[in-house]
Amino acid sequence: MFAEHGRGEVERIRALLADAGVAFEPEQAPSQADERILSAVLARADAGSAVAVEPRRPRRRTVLRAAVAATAVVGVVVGALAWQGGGTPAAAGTPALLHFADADVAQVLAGGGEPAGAVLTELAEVAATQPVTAGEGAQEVTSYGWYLSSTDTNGVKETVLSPTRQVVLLRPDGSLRIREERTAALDLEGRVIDGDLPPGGANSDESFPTGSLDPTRVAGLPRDPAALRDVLLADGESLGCGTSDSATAACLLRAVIESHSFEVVPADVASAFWAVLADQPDLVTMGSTTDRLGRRGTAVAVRIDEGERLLVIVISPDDGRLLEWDEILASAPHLGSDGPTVIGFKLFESARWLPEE
Amino acid sequence: MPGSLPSQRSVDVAPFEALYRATVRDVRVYVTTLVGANLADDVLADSYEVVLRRWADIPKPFDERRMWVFGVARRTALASQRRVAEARRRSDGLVPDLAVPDVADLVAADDRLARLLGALPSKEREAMMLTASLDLTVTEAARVAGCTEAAMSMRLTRARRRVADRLATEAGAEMEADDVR
Repeated sequence: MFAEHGRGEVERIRALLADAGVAFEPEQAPSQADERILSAVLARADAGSAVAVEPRRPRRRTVLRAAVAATAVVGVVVGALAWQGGGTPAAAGTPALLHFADADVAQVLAGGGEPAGAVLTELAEVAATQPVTAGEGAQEVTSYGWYLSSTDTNGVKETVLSPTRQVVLLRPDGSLRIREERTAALDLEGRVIDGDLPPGGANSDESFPTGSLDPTRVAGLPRDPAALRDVLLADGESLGCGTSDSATAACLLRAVIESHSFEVVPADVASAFWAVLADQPDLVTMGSTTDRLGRRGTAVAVRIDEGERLLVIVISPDDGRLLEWDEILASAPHLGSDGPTVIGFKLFESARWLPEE
Repeated sequence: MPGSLPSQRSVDVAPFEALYRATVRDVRVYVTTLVGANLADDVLADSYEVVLRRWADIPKPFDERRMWVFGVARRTALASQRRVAEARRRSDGLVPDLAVPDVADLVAADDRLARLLGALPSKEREAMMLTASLDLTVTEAARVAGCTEAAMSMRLTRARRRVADRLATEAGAEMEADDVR
């Protein structure tokens, strides 16, 4: 995991400083200035000073908490960051970048690219022409992705790509079942190396109790783009959304992706999603592409962390559905790559209602 | 829709006071790293006001609460920076730039560390302070800084290289000075 690599870096920084006889300021008790601030905060509270604040909507907060928990469960796929640092990958190479007709990934990472507003507006119009299906029963979302992981067995480091198929079933009572099938892994040269996996691959099957997610959340989202934007940003408030245009764009993009991860997204909601994103100046168009399932797509992207990463989504120009997301690092020296490197992707294969479930 | 701070009648402030006293020094160090000493007091006051107002919402485990406070402080600090920048823009630069971090303020006990931190780009300095100084894990620091673990890890790698380079340069300069003497 990157966290492990980062932890190693922290230790190396501390060791460097210690060797040089440099120390951070020791821990101290609160100062008089700190105590004065505390008194002022409590005094204002006591006086009931009015502060403009958007009231939290309990339903959405519950959903968000549950979604975070559920996302953590599926993080091996969604995060696609299960790489464990500390060693050299078995071989250079990660999944190929998608081919984008109108943009070069490196240039976009460097800040280039044309705004995606017009493209997204068109996609919103396409989605708006689709029939809106309001289903009943359980919702099933099937996806396919991969994660990168490395193992260290007796000093022999091995980095593998583990394709994973995921089926999420969200029932009307808010209970959730997430099934994952990990198929045989490939090494970075494409050879099957998980020979000891059982036929069909390794499986995981986890269930979450009633009320874990609100199964009506997506269907209940506002169709008005301005109202929808407010809702999506409010859900991401604790994650730092809104601190900059690019942070806002990234937050909105993640919110859209998350909305597709557990529920069937009605076409009119999809249309509103693209309309919201169309107003984000930091989203750039990547042009037409073909996703990893061979489907025709239109891609837009947002730079994250000042060009350290790029988050790309691929949308169907035929019906306005979200097809895929890809996360790309500007470079990944830990993976033996000095250029743009795909560190994760997820394909949304299907989302449907299961009345009998 | 307007709301209000909870009054002492509706909130037991003792746990809030305990959290404040347990975290304020570290949060001050972090806030000063972001916006400098000039704005630190205001940012701290605004941040803890948010914490108190949202008391019912924040996580219960101390580590989670601490991280939550850092996150609030970061957003408040960045908002303050934006306000200062906007004021400067409107005044054609006549308003002083108050939001410049003065790392000497937070590591006054060690000038060398101040110089090392001052030489780092802001994001790398933030990464180093959150983890190496304030003991947040990489995962926690990434959440506070609003980036991925991968990005935080890369920032730490870059920070470590820069610190190593600068220490090596300093050591070389000292050796040259010794030779001259």
